[in-house]
Amino acid sequence: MSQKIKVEQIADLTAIDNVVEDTTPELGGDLQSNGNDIVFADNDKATFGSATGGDLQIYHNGSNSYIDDAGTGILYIRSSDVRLGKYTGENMLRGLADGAVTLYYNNNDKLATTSTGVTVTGTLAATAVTGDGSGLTNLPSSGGISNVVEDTTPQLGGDLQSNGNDVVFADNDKAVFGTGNDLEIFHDPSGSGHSYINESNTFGNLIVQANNLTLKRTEGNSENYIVCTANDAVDLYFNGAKKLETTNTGVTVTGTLAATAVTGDGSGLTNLPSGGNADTLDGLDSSQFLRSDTADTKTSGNLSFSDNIKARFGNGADLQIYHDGSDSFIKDGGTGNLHIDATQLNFRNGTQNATYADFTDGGAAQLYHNNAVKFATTATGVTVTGTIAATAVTGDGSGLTNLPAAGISNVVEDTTPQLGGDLQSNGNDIDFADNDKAIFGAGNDLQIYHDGSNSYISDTGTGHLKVTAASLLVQNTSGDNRIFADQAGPVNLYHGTSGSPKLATSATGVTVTGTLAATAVTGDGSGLTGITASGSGSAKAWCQFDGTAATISYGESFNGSGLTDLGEGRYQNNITNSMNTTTYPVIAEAGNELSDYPTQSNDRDHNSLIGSRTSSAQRLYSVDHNTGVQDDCQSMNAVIFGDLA
Amino acid sequence: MQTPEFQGTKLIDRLCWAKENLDGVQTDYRVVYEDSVDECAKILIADPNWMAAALQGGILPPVWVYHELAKDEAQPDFKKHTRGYLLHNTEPVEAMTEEEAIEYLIMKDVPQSVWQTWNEGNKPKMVICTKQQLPETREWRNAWKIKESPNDSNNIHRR
Repeated sequence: MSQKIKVEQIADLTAIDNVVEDTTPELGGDLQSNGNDIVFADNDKATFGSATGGDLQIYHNGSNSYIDDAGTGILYIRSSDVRLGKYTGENMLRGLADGAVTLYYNNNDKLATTSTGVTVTGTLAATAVTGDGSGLTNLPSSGGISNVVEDTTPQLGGDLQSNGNDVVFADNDKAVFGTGNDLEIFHDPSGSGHSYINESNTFGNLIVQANNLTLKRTEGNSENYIVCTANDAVDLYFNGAKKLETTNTGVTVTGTLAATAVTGDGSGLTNLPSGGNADTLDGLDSSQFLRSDTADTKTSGNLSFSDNIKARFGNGADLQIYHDGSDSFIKDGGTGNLHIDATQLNFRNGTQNATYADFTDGGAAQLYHNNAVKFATTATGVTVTGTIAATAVTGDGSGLTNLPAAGISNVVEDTTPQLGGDLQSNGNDIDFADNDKAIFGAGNDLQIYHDGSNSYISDTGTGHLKVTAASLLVQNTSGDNRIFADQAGPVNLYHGTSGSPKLATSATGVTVTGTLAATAVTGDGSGLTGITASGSGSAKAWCQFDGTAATISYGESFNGSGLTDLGEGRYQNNITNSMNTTTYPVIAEAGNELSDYPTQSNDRDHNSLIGSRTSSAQRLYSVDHNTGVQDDCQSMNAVIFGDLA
Repeated sequence: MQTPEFQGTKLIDRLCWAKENLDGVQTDYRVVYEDSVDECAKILIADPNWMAAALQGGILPPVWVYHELAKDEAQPDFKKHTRGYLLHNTEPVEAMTEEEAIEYLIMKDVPQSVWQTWNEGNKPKMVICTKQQLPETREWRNAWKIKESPNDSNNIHRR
């Protein structure tokens, strides 16, 4: 209340209501924040020191925040624990009074000052680290080396730069190349001292590659040994003078070419001495060549042809003699004949001890087998020594001599033919004329024949005539079954063209389909079934039951399947083999057991009625004789006649 | 006893063989059904000779044969069966269990309208039970009906 009064009191004065209205505010004492912030808008600064000198300014320019010390002196940030970090708390730099200054990476300290230097956590990557490293500790236990000499197993981690220095190999120290020390370069001072470039790999080549290559005498001397020029000549020198130069057509030799042999036919030789011809070869030893004039006779040495090199004759190479590496050939592929003319011509084996064929002028021509004559021509024909096997021999044989006296021309002539083996029919028949028989058995026991009227299989000998087969079927010529005998089943007899048997044997006897007509049937008939059941005059079903029983059931029955109790005095007999119609006759009788008949009166007796019927059921009714009411009776009987379905 | 191979043997002859060679089998099973709301429950009992043939196998034709004949018989112009050979020539069914035989008998002698929809109404139209579950006397036989809750030990009650 007192302050309000105070405001009203000073309102009459020329004064300001708040600091905003004060464009030249001055603090008369410390400015207490009292739980409030001092909020600087963008680019509004807290300025320390000289207002115009900008010794120290703190501000935010809308994008970044700044602590600017543009004035004189040092910007101190002092504390016993100075930290630079992210606003979320992540450390970037920390300085502890009387302790370490630590630099962080992703809030993990990586470099910290210590009383003796710095500790780097992780790998120190630097373009250079100076100092002699004498104080380094924790080096690998094997110890370092002071120079390459101490390294007995030096390895290059990169290309070795010479940097204006040489790599000096002492005598017999080698520059060795290749996994197998294939190439060595070294100097051996022994003797007069030699330097070597040694390629020891037997499979590879020592290849010296250069666009232009010169082998020459020691430096300072211009004498060349070999000069190789790219896309041009290779020159060989003697005492500094070129003696052999390769060219695009061959070589050029300067001076005399001395060689033990020069191959090629020399057809391209030029500048030969004039007058050179075959005559100039006269006087040479004839074993050194062969020529066609009669003056020369080859007296020594063989004339040899390599494989497939042919001795060819004729302008068209008509006749060729050669060996192809596997076989030898005398080949006449030209016109005309190949004549081999001789008074006695023999073909023999390679070892010359067996004859294949020989031909004699004016005499025989003979063919041999295993050096034995088998075929020889004669003045009258040929003589064959041994058997002639031929698919056909033509001629009428009229001039044949020395044939066996008992020979036959065909089987007909053989009146006592004997088989020396099974007679093969080979697609042919054996035709028996009427009354000619196939006879079997020592006593002519079985005979098969046709007598001109009938055919017979006649067994007149001992034992049975057995016809064995897995199943036997006898048919007429039209293919209709007459008799069929199964392997283990029925034997059937047929009639007419019907495929159904008329008589068939079974496990229990025989089944006759149709009427069995016999003059007599023996046996007592005790096992006969079905004889009266299906006959037209016999009963087809019957039943007898007590209709007064609580649960009625058949007493006697035939052909029944079930009895239906329809109610008092009403019953239904169901049969198994249905009747053919629904109008078949039924005879029924209903009544009570009359133990004192005939003295008992009739007032308790019953009448029977036949109700509706189907082919498989009949309804039977029992009616009290006196009242006419349906009433259960003690004995219900029914017999059914008619045709079965 | 092994059933002979009745190849081509008529059904009636097969039944003769069964009657003469097999002992009848009295089953305790009874089939109770209702095919009309105005009539009392009907009770089907298997013929002992038939049951013996069913258990023996190789005698009875497949039950579908009877259905085929019933179709023929349902034709308005039916006079006599022309496909009776189905009974004789169709390969007989193999041996059945007693329960399978009762199922066969139901499909043969119970109206199809009953056994095809026996459990689709307000109460079952058909019950398979034993004779001990039937009333001990035939008193009020014309009023017997299948209970609406046939799970009771006694499936039949007198109305």
